[in-house]
Amino acid sequence: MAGVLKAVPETARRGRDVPWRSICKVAVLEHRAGLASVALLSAACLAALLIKGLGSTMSLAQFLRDGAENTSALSVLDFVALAFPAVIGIFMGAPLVSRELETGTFRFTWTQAVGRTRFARISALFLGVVSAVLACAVGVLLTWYAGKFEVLGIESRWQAGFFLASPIVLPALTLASLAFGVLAGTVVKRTVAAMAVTTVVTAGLLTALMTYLVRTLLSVSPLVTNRISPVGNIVGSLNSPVPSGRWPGGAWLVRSWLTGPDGRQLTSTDAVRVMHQITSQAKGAPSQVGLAHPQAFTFWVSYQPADRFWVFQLLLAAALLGLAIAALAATMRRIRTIG
Amino acid sequence: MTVLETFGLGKRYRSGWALSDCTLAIPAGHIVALVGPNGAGKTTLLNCAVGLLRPSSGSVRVLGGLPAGSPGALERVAYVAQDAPLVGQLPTQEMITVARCLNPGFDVQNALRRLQSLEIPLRTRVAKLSGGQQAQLALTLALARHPELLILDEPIARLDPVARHDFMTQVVTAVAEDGLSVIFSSHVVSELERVADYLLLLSRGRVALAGPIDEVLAEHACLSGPADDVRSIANGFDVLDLAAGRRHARVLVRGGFASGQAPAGWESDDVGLEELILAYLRRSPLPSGAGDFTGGASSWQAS
Amino acid sequence: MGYLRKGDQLPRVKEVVAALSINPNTVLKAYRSLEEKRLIAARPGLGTYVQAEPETIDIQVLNSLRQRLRAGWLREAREAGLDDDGILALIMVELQDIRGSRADLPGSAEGVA
Repeated sequence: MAGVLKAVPETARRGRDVPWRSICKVAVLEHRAGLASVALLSAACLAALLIKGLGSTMSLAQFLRDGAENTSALSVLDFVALAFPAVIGIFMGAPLVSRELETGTFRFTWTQAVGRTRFARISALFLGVVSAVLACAVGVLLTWYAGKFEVLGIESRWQAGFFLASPIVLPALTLASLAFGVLAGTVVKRTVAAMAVTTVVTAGLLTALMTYLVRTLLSVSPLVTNRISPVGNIVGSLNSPVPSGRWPGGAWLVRSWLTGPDGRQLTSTDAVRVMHQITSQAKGAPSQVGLAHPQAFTFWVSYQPADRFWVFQLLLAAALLGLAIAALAATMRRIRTIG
Repeated sequence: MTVLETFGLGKRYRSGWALSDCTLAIPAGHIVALVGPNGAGKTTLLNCAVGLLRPSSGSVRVLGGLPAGSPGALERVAYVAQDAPLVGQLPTQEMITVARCLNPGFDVQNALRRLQSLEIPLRTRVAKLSGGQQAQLALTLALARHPELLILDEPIARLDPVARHDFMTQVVTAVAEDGLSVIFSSHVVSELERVADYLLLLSRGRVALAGPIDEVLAEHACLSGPADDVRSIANGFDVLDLAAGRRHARVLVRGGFASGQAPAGWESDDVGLEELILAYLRRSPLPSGAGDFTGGASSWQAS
Repeated sequence: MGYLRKGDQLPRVKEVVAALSINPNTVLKAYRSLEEKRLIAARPGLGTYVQAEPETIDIQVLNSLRQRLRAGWLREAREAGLDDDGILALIMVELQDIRGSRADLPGSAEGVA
């Protein structure tokens, strides 16, 4: 042998001993651009929410005066908040592994002492924590801003757009999107293509949630009552956070229907006719109207009471988190077997 | 201790078998030249040795029995892939940070000293370094891990002659200082003999030759003599290459004789390494197992 | 070659390897073979030193050999029509023959600079 093999003490070189902080440091160094742009975007989003929110304590009169512009601002910010998970998934998740595979740097990183699975797992978890925290902050501020409209009975936290952008669901949605992006990167192995796939999937998931899934979730075993009269704007009434009289405040209307004197449900055309009769006979403010023939028609609603809001939030968050964990597990399996 | 051991190793891609039935046992303490034409399976073999590829058949072990790619192997084997992949947008010193973060026991002082003596700037982005500097940086990061085995995949293929010389000087110096074993692949044969003392020759995915270079050369000879007498040579020896004119023939043979005992009418001469390698590479594919050369008059694979 | 004298220190293996960019085992073998010939000796902790000078052949013997070559065999070879290459080839063949018939003797020329 040419020289004396310079012995590195056994305990000093174990790959298992690589501290997770070091791996996070590497993740930051390698994905600096992505992290910086996400941080910047989040900061802009949070600033916008803060500014808008601070500047608009409204009364109903104020809202009726210039509320339309505020509502569109709210919609825009809501949209941005919902885009956040997709942005994370596409710009941080998809490139995480796929860039290494595409540029060939995995031939360096995967032959270091730390090992490919530990490196990938901790990098992904690190990005997950960062994105979840940012998503939570976005959710908090958005909910706070939307709350100003909710107080007036105009918007509702039960609406899909706000339900998904809450401080509980938005982080879970972000983690699911991130995890899927990383998985896509290990399957597709090309950064741009992985980003495209992630875009399609997260857009699809968001669309499905917005249009169908949230509503379906919320119509699970609602409470039913006929002790409510149809006053004014049905949605607004039920969702007023302050209970008034026999109205359950802060609740979510799932369905409403009329039954006739025989107890059978009226068809929608008949129901419309009856409601029209009632409101056309009203004199004065619509909110004073009661049923013309209280013994002839009964007004039913099925609804979710206010206190169930958190249950549904946690249910949805748990389901999304489950998706995220499944995607991460699949990613780890793929990384282990590449080659 | 064997630094690299394979048992019937095979790797299959969609296009076919890149490696078939490779059985090797390379002892420690050598600088091994892995030689073969492009497509012979050199990169595949090295990738299997460092755990980047999983064998389709057979197995690979390193450093006395550690499975290739296992945590124990990753800790002790350093690898520089073809074209020295590094994270291009990082400056050199951050690349060192990355290596330090991913390897406990990474010797930062060693790396910095080497880079300083090579005059490689620390603040420049890796992508802006020259090819030679990138290769040296990759080598520096590998050596600073104080590995027991260093594996290099065509490290000098794209370098100019000066850069090549400097690179190999770093390698041999590190071997002299640390006593590590080295396996490097190359399809440039001419400079091997100075640096390598063990030869591993792959052809079409199979092992054609394996052994210490001086033993390998001693087993071969170049016989020159009358062209009409070639048949007697062919019957007595294992012929690798033949160049025959009308009167004179030159035959490259493998035999168990010492130089000087040429058959009557023939002269025997030493074979050069380059000539020997070319002769093996030009040969048609060997039947399976024929590349081992174990159990012959002299066994080249030290156990 | 006369550059190192008795008592001089040899460069360390590492230095030779770095300077010539060659395999360390080659240098080690060379040093070992010099040690076997008792030309150098390793002193632990201090380094490797030249111990003895290779046997020098007496200059007068060398001169007389050269003179005999010039006046005798070389002249004959030239007159027979051999050119420089032919002369060298003849000598090489003869040396090889001698080496072949004494194959067990250590004689392969490993040149040590």
